[in-house]
Amino acid sequence: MAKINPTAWVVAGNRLTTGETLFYSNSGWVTTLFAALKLSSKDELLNLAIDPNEVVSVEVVAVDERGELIDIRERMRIDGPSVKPNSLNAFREAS
Amino acid sequence: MYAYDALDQAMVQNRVDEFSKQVARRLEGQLSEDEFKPLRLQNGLYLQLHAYMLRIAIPYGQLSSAQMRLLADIAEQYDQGYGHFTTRQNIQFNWIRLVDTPAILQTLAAHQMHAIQTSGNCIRNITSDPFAGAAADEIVDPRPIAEWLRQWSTLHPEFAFLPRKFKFAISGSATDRAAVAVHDIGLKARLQNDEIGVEIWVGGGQGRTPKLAKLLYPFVPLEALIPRLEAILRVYNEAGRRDNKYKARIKILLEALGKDQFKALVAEAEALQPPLDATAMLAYREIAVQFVAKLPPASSQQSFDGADDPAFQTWCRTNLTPHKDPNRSIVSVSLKPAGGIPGDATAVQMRVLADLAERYSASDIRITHRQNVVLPHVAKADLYALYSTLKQFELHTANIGLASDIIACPGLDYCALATARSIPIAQALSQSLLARSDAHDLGELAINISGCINACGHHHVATIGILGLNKGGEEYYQLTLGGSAFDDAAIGERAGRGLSDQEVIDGVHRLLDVFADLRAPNETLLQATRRLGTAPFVEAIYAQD
Repeated sequence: MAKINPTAWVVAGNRLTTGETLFYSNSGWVTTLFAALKLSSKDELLNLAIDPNEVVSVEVVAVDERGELIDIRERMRIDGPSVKPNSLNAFREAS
Repeated sequence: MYAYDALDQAMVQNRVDEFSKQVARRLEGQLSEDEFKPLRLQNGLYLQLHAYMLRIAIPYGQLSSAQMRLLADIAEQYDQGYGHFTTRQNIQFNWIRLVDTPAILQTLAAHQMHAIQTSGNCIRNITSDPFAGAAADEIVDPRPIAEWLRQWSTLHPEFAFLPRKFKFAISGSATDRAAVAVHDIGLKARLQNDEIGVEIWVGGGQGRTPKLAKLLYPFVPLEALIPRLEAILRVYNEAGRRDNKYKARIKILLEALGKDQFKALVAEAEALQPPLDATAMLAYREIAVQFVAKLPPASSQQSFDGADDPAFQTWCRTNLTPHKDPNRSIVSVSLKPAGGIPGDATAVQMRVLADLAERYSASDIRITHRQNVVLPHVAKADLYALYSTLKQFELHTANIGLASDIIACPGLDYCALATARSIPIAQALSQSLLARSDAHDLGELAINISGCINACGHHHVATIGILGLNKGGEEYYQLTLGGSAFDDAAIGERAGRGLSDQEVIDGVHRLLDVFADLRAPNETLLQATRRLGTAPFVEAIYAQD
C-alpha cells in the first residue's frame, strides 16, 4: 500500500480511571473522532492544556484529508476489537 | 496442589494493600503517570488499546476449581464476560478499570492468587508441563520444583530490576511439553541414581532475535539448583545490556560471551555464595508432599459408554493422553472451536470446567501454553459423561495437536504493541481447516500466529508460523516454516515476501494440499519439511490459484 503523507493530526489518549480511548476537542476530551480537534502540526500538542491526571498515554495520530485515522492501529482504537464488536460499546456503557 | 502458608498469604495481602494505596495516590494526583506506570506493571496491569488489561498469574498453569470459578466471577463482574488464556499459562482480562483493580486483587488474594510479576523486568510466572503429575512418561513431577522456584523468585530483591524480563519453564517428562528450549532458563527435571536434579538450558527466547537455549549444565542436584540459578541471574544482572532493550535478554549476553566464558563467570559468582540453607531443602520437601494427588481408585472396567458415538471416538483419539494410572486419562479440552478465538473462555465455560474438574479430576485444572485447558485425572469410565457435558458448552472440539489447534496472541484487536491482528487469521484458518475432509488425517501440526515481532504467539517455533506486521498503516503477514517447540526444537525459516490476510489463508491450504500429496506414511508436516526441505511448500504458498 502506498504510504499516505498525513496533513493533519488529532490527539488521542486513555482516560486514567478506565483506560477508555479519548480524543481531544475544543470542549475537552470526547469519545468520538469527528469532534476531535485537528492539528496542522504535531508541535501544536505542546500548546494544549492537557491534565495528566485525567488522560494518560497521550499521543498525536495522523488523519487523512477526510479526517479519518490513517493507521489501522488507531482505527482499532475507535472501532474496538474486530473480533468482539460489541465489547467496546458495552465497556463504554458500563463506564 | 500447593496451598499458601501464612507467609505466602501475608505477602500477597501486603502487596494488595500496597498497590491499593498506590492506585489511590495516582487517582488523587499524588503520583505521576511516570511514577505509577512501573508500579502498575509490577502488578500485571497494562494499558492497552481500549482499556486496562490485567494479567493474572497461574503458577505452572495449575488452578483449582474454586480458583477457576473466581476467574469466571471476575469476568462477569469486572470484564465483558470472558477471559483469555495466554501462551504463558496466565489469564488476561481485557476490559478492566483502574479503579476496580484493588478490589479484584483483594478477591484474588483471598483465593491464593495474584498478578505479581506478570510484567516488568523480573522473573515472570514459571511455566511447566500441563500434564505434570499425571503423564505416563513422567520422570519427575516438575511442579514442586516450580513452586519452590516461585517462592524463591517472588519479590526477590536482587532480581526485581533485571536488564529485561526473564522467563523460566520446567519439564519433567521424557517429552518436553513446556517449550523449554525457548525460555531464558529452561529446566528439565531428571533422575540420576535415584537423585532428583535438573538439566539447565540457558539463553533461549523468541522475539526479534529468536534463539534456542543451550544446555549448560547436564545435571545439577536439587541442593545446588538455587545457588546455581542465583549465580546465573547475578551474572546476567551485572553483565546484561541495559543500553538497548532489543539486546538486553540473556540470550544476547550468552552469545556475546560464549558458553565457556559465561560458565566461568557463573562459577565465580557461585563461589562467592554461601551454600544453600538447610531449611531450603526442608521447604522443598514440604512443598513436594502437597503435590501428591489424592485420587480415589478408578474403575478398571474395560468397556465404556460412547463406543457407538463416532464423534466421541474421534475426540478420544485427539484429546486424550495416557495417564500414569492405566484406568485414567489426561483430557485436553480445546479452546479452539471452528472460528473461535484461541484461548478465550466465557464465564459460563469456566464454571463448567470448574464443575467438571471437581466431579472428575480432583478439582485439578491446568492451562497449557497452547491455550487449552487440561483435566489431568479423569477415570476412563467417566470419559463419555465428561465429553457429553463438554459438548453442551462448545468445549468438545476434537483437534488437540492438529492444524486447527492454533495459537494466537491477542494481536491488534487488543494489544498496544501489536502491528497486525492475529485472531481473525486464526478464526478464518480454524474454520476452514476443520472443514477440510482431511482435517484429522494431516497429523500433528502447529500453526502459531503473532501480531508483532515480540512473538507472544510463538510463531518462530511453529510448523507454520505467521507473523503480523504493518506497512504503510496496513497489515500484512510473513510465514515461517519448519519450527518446533518440542524436543526437536527449531526456529522456522522465513518463506518469502509478506502476504495479505486472504493470501495467508489460501497459501496455508495450498501448502497442506501439497503436503497431503508428498507425505510419507504417518509423516508429519515438520518431518516432511526436514526430509524434503521447505522449497515445495514455499512454492505452494506463493503459487497462483
